[in-house]
Amino acid sequence: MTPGTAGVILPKLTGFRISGFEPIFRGSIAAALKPGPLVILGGNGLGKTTLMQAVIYALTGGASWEIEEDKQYRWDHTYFKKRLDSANLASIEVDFELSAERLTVRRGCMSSTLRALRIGEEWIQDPMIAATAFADNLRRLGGYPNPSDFSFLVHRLLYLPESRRLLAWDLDAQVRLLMLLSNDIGAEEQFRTRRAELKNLDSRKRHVHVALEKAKGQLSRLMEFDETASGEPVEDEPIDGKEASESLGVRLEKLVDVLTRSRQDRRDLESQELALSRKISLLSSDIEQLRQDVEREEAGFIASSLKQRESTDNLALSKLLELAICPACGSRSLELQARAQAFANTHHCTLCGSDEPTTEPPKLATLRSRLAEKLRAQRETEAQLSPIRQRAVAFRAADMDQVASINQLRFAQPVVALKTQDLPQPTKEALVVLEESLRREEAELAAQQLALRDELEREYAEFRESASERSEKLRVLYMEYASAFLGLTCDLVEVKDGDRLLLLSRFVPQFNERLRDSPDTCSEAQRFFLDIAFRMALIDLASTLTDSNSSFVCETPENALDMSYVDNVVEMFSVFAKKKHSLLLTANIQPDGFASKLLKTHVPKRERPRRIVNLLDLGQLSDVHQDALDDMKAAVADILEA
Amino acid sequence: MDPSVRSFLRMRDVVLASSAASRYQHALNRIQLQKFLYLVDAITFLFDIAPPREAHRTYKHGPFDAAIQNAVDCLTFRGLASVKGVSRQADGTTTAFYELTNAGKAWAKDLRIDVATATRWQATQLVAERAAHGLGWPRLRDLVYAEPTYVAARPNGWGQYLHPEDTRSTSTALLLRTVESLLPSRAGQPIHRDLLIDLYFDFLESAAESLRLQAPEVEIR
Repeated sequence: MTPGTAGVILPKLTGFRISGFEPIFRGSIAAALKPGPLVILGGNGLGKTTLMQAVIYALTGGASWEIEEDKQYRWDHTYFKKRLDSANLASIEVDFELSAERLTVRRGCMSSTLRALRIGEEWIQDPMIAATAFADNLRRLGGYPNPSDFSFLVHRLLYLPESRRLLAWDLDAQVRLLMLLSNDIGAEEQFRTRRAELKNLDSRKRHVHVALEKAKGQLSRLMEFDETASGEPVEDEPIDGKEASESLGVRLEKLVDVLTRSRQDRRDLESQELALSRKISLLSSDIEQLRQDVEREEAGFIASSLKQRESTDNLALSKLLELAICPACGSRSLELQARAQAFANTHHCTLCGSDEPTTEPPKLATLRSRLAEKLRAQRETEAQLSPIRQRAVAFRAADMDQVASINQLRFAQPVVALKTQDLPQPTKEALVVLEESLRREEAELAAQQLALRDELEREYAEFRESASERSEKLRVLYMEYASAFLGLTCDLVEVKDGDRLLLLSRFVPQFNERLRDSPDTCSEAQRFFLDIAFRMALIDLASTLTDSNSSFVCETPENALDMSYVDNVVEMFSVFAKKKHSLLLTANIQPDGFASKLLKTHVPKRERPRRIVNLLDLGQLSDVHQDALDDMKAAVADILEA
Repeated sequence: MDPSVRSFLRMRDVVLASSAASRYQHALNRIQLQKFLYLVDAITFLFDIAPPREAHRTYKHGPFDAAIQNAVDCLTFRGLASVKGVSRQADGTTTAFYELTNAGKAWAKDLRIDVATATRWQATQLVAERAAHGLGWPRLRDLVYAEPTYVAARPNGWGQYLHPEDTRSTSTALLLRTVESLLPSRAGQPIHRDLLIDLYFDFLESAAESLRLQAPEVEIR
């Protein structure tokens, strides 16, 4: 697969080596990753998280501001440096494949920069050249526009950290990831830059608004002072030559206001349109399946009715079956008759032996009634959708007219530049000029903001539309994982979501006929494991598009899991592992825990020692660990031997 | 779809179509059978039943479903239909008319005992009625050429599947649903259905006429 033709190619981890991590670990650690699980087994404080984080650190250099808006989730080499005896001796190497090319990255703990890079067998030891070569290879082999995109993808998709930074309900992360994974049909970086521009416009508008309110306040105080001084109310007199211009500013402000409100109505309408279209799509896929089943049963009914008629009227094929008369030449052939009878008795075509459809009348009746019900539901939904569509079209036409009117006013306005010498003087005239200028600037910024918002929303909707086939695949994949965990059907639904600046869409789970549109609509375990299901589905989708495999690195949230769900989680991870992806997981050492079941289910006994990193041998054991060491060793032995 | 499933479904459809045509003393030829069944399939969704999936495709002479001709041949071989007026044309093609034998007619009655087949029979009769009264059987081809799904798919070349029952793209179903949404809601659905079918055939006739006017004149030597 050529990078860029169907989204970015995900990295597939193949191994790692860690050294110089004393006192956290008692020596060097090395492991190879193959398709299926590799489990880091340990107890509290033995370094499971550190080891996992070191692997991610080597790949990306940590989570910087470029990929993480929220400061509390940023981290880098200092996370390790503070905890090591000799940070300058620490080294982490991670091997991975990208588009069939083998790469190795090496980082130390004194700074986050790449220390060396291996491409195939060739090492690049110069850090500057290595960093450039890394960026080039990410672009060339993986289709990543820049290294920060690779880091983002690793941190927000391939790695579920202990901090449980969820992807499942995060709009911004989903938008960036979906666009990155489909960068063949949408320019993610450009979209993100323009979103930032929209925020900037909003911020400028708010500053202007504050200045405007301040000028209004000053003016009103000045007017009050004039009134008090003269004892008579002051008429609102237009200042020479300003009347027409002021009227333009106010009109522009009003028009923008009208457009803002009508956009909100339009968005509500479009949300309804989207929801109904989605319902129709779901009904259509159910209908397709039912049509297939009904057709098979109906064909069976027709075949059976045809046989009866042929028998009643003693037609050619009936004569063959009963009298051994060949329907082609009219001669009598017992051999042909015997063969025809054998075929007919086993529901095959009397002549050629092809499978012949059969039917069970009650089943056909049930299927037809279900199909008719779905068709009626589809028709009713379409009846609801049709007027909404017509109104949306009318709204869009009105929107275009309003935008045209706004633009006409904007370009008809005189350009008034505020110079330093024009800064407000505490005079009425100067404040009136300033107020008018700020009013116009605010309206202009609002108009620009509206235009950009509309452009971005339309662009994203077009992107989602182009990726609709991929969304359907994602839904199917997600349902497989999420339903395996929950033990009931869990769907993935795209809902409109955004903030006051922009309305986009994101995927949320739906089960028990309830849309789970925020994390607090799920239990703690559901949150974590549905997030894992979503990530696995996305990894699967990206892998399918690029015909490659990848890895998932996961701090298993075992403490959120009661024993009744362990088997379901094992099933979910097994589905992922069977697709030839590799899994790097952490787990506590405990008898019949999640790790034990996963390894016993998925890995043959002789292979198991190579599928665990046992921190009892490598980590610093506390007194508590020492006391329970025999039990813990027995639990590990059970995993290996069972 | 399983070929034998398609074949049996089309055997049913051909028997119903030939039976409906025979009520007007008409025997359908190969091309008319294709066009007739295309129109029946296009309106069946109004009866809350679905036409066979992945059936018609764009081809040289309008929509074509190979299973229909195979079904006619099977019925003839099995003694349920007979071929009349076989003649070879100047362009090398063969024309033939198909009629049901007595056994075929009896089988058509057998099939109509089934509720869904009886409903499909209703749709078949409606198309036959319009072809026999007013339109004329040879005009079926022009109507099919004006059908929205085919008109939309034709520029994309041969081999495109046609789904006139799919409301999510340009199709008969989308057209009729839109018209239906503009009609006042009525409890008696069949009134709407008949009205819609009338409007639909009027539309096809007008569209066919406008296509005919747009087509370049062919000089006859």
